[in-house]
This record gives sequence, C-alpha cells and structure tokens, in this order.
Amino acid sequence: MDDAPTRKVAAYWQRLVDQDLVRVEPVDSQQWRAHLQNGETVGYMAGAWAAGSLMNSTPGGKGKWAIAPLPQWDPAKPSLGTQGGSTFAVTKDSRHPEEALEFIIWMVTSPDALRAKLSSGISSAYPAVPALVPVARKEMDTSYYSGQDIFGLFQQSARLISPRWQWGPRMTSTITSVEDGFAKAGAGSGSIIGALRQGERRTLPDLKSLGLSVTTN
Amino acid sequence: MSTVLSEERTGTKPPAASAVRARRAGRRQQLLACVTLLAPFTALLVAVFLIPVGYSVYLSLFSQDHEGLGFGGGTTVFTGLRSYLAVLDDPSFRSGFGVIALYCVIFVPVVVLGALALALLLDSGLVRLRRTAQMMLYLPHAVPGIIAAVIWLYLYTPGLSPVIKLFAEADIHIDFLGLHTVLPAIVNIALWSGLGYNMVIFYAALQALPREVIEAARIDGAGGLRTALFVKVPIIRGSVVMVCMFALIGALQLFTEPTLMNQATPMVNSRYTPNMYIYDAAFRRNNYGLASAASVILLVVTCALSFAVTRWAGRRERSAR
Repeated sequence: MDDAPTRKVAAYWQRLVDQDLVRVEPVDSQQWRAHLQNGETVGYMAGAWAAGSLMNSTPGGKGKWAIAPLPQWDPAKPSLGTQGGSTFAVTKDSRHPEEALEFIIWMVTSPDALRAKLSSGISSAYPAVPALVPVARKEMDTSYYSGQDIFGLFQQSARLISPRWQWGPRMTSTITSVEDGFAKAGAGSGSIIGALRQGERRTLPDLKSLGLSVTTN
Repeated sequence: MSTVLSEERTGTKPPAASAVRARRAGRRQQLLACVTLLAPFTALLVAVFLIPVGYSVYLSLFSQDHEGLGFGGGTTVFTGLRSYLAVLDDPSFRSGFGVIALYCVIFVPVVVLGALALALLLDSGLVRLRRTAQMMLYLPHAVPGIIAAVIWLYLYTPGLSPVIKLFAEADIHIDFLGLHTVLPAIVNIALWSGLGYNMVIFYAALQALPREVIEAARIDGAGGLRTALFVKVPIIRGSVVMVCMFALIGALQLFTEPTLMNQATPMVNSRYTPNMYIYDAAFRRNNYGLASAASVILLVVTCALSFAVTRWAGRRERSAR
C-alpha cells in the first residue's frame, strides 16, 4: 500500500493538511454534520449514494449543493474507483431461500422497486442493472440539486471505473486501521503515507492467520 | 511437635480399636466437609475458567478454511501455531501492551499512593465524620464501570461537556480526547472508581495493626507523620503488594473505558488495548483463531506478571527480615 501512485496521492493530501487547506475531522461525526449544516464545509468526496444522504441530513442546503465529477490526475486517461455499495444475501438457515432470492431479484432489477426506493427521498443508490439508470434519471426528485441530472453524471462516472479496481479481502478492518492513522496524522502525529503503511501492517497478520498466502513488494 | 508425638507414643497404652474407628470416622467427616466446601469453588473454576481456557486453546490451534470463493460451508483444519505467529507479528497487538505499560506507569503509583494517603488520614483520626468520608470515597466503586465511563465521556466530549464549557469561559481550551490527553483521561476514570475501593483495603489492614506498636512509637517520640510512614506503612506492606498486583491485572484487562472512548475519539483505535484487540479480532474480523491465540498469550503474560510480582515481593519481605 505504498507504491508510487499511492505515494503521489498521499503527498498531495499531506500538503493540503499541512497547509490547512482541508478540514480534518472524522466523517459522519457530530462536528462533520454540524459543519455541513451551518455551511462551513463547502464540498466533500463520496460515492453516488451520498447525494441522497446529504438531502436527508442537511435539508437546509437545498438549492445550494451540486454534484461534480471527481478531478482527474490525467484528464487524457480518466479513471475512477468505487466507494461503498450494497450486496444482498440469503442466510443458510433461511426458511424460504427461494422466495428470498426471488424478492432480491425483484428488488434490484424491477423499475417498481427502484421507484419505491427513490420515493423515500433518502436513497440515491446507483442501480446495478444498467437498464434501470434511465428510470432513476426520470424518477429521482433532484430539486435539492436545483434539478441537476445527477444520475446522468453518475452514469458517465460509472463508465470510468477501472475494471482492475478491487478491494482487499479484509477491507473494513484495513480501512479502520488506515482511518485511525489518518486521525493521528490530522492531530499532528504521523503522516498520511504512514497511515497507509500502518493499514497494511495491521492487515497482514489477519490474512496470514487465515492461511492466505501474502506477498508484499 | 516431635516431643508431643513421642509423649503420645510413649504414653500409657496403645490406642484402643474403638478410638481408631472414631478417628477414621472423624477423618471421613473431615473429607466430606472438605469436598462440600470446595465443591462450589471447583465447579465455578471449571465452568468459567478451565473450560473456556481449554476451548480458547483449542480454537487457537484450528481455523475455518473455505474453498475457492468462499461458497458453501467451511471446514475446520488444524493450523498449529499459525495464529500465534500472526498475533505476535501484529504491531497493533504489541502496541496494546505499550499502552498498558504507560497506563500502569501513571495509574499504579497514583492509585496506591492516593489510597494509602487517604487510609492513613482516616486512620490517624484527623478526619472528622470518618464514616461519612469513607462512604463518600467508596461510593464511586459501587457505580458499574460502563455507567461511570458513559458519565465521564459526557464530561469529556466537546460541545456537550459543562466542564469544557466552564473552562472555555475562562479562556482555557482543553481537549480531553486529544492525542496526548486521552490516556490520562482513561486513568482518571479508573482512579475515580478505584481509589475508594483500595483505600478500604488499606484502611482495614491499618485497623488490624496491633495498637501497642503504635503506642510504643508514640512513647518513643514519633509524631503522627513519622508513625504513619515508618511504622504503619511497613507493617501493611502485604496489602500494598496485593493492591499493586490487582491494579496490574486490572490494567491488563482494560476494556470498558477505552472501548467507549473509541466511539468518541479516533485517538483510541479499535485495537487500543490487548483486550480490545481480542474483541476486534473475534467480532469485527470474525477471526476466532486469531482472537483465541491473542487471549491465550494475554493469559500467559498476566500469569507470568502476577507470579513475578509475588516472587519479587516475597523476596523483599524475606530480605527485610
């Protein structure tokens, strides 16, 4: 987790932190929400799902927020990763596994299900089924974003996601370790690249104890 | 002892058969009493200590293996010391012991000296309303640890805490949950609940002191302070060692307070202490082998440290005599 591209990104953010150009605070914390609500935070990076949660958590921001594509390191070769996402599973001891599977298929593929979801006003999940994207574009009430075609933007961005993008096998725990390091870096102890290295060091023993063969370079 | 025995033996006549029988019956009764009295303790020891320890050792030597993408059930395979090597290789597990060491360096001296000073003050009779004072000091110990931690967390959280607000009005800005203040903040919670309890232990030991020794010291011209420091404290050294050891074991098991702090500040990470590491491994990473190996290591370290402290104290006791 400290190859050349990672070091480049870490150095970029380290400079922003050092020069006090970004706000350092835990995501979804009390302060985070307060700063969104009182307008002191002017922007943040997140996945498509964040559009709905912002509408819900910060109703006062209606008409003041818009969504922009992420900036690119090399505009000639745009590339993106993913953040967040949902999966649905049927447990082994389910009493109605087939019915459950049928419901899940309906839930993720049917226009009716998507309409119901969007009408809740808190979801802006990007549908996994491409055919549903036009439905979402039509159905989503985007008056919060002054009528911006947010699903159109999501669709453009989704096409840029690198097919080589993948998460590690213990990503939740890795992210927690990295975030702990970020928090310390923000408090003036350690650095962003140090936090990433720590995330790797703290993940390896877990993987090794599970019997996965791990190589580092 | 030997003289008594020989007297018995050389005494009048050999014991009659009835006496032997009576003695045998008495012995059987004794055995019965022993079994009855020890049974509840043994049952609990086996149920809540030996079986869990055995199960942990078993879990630590095995792992769940899944084929391919992880579909279908896993199979349990023997992995030997693989989890132990992984735990010992984990910097986040080792750093937990560093945190505990630092915690002990702050907590143990303060709690021992503080509780000792309070007990000596109460014992010297300088304090009025002795019973009320004792009660007030002991009361925090009656509050369950998790409730105490919640209350303290409220007092530590910026934006909620009346204490921080009060200081801020005097233009003093403190952050109880900062990088360097969070450990003292945890120590403070532990002190608050532990001071009174340990004071009671010391006070009880002081009450059991032979009064003539104190009187002798007074006649020899020792003042209250000298009597306390050079007569009372050396005599209750045993209690001091015991409190130190309990504080040490308690420190190794530190969990409740930092776990709660973990919700409030990123300065306390989810593997802050060895016990939190074990919880994280078992219930966040679902890695029972790793968690069990870490538990066994923690148990061994705790036993070794307790043994070392007892040995060290025993040697000092002997050399002092």
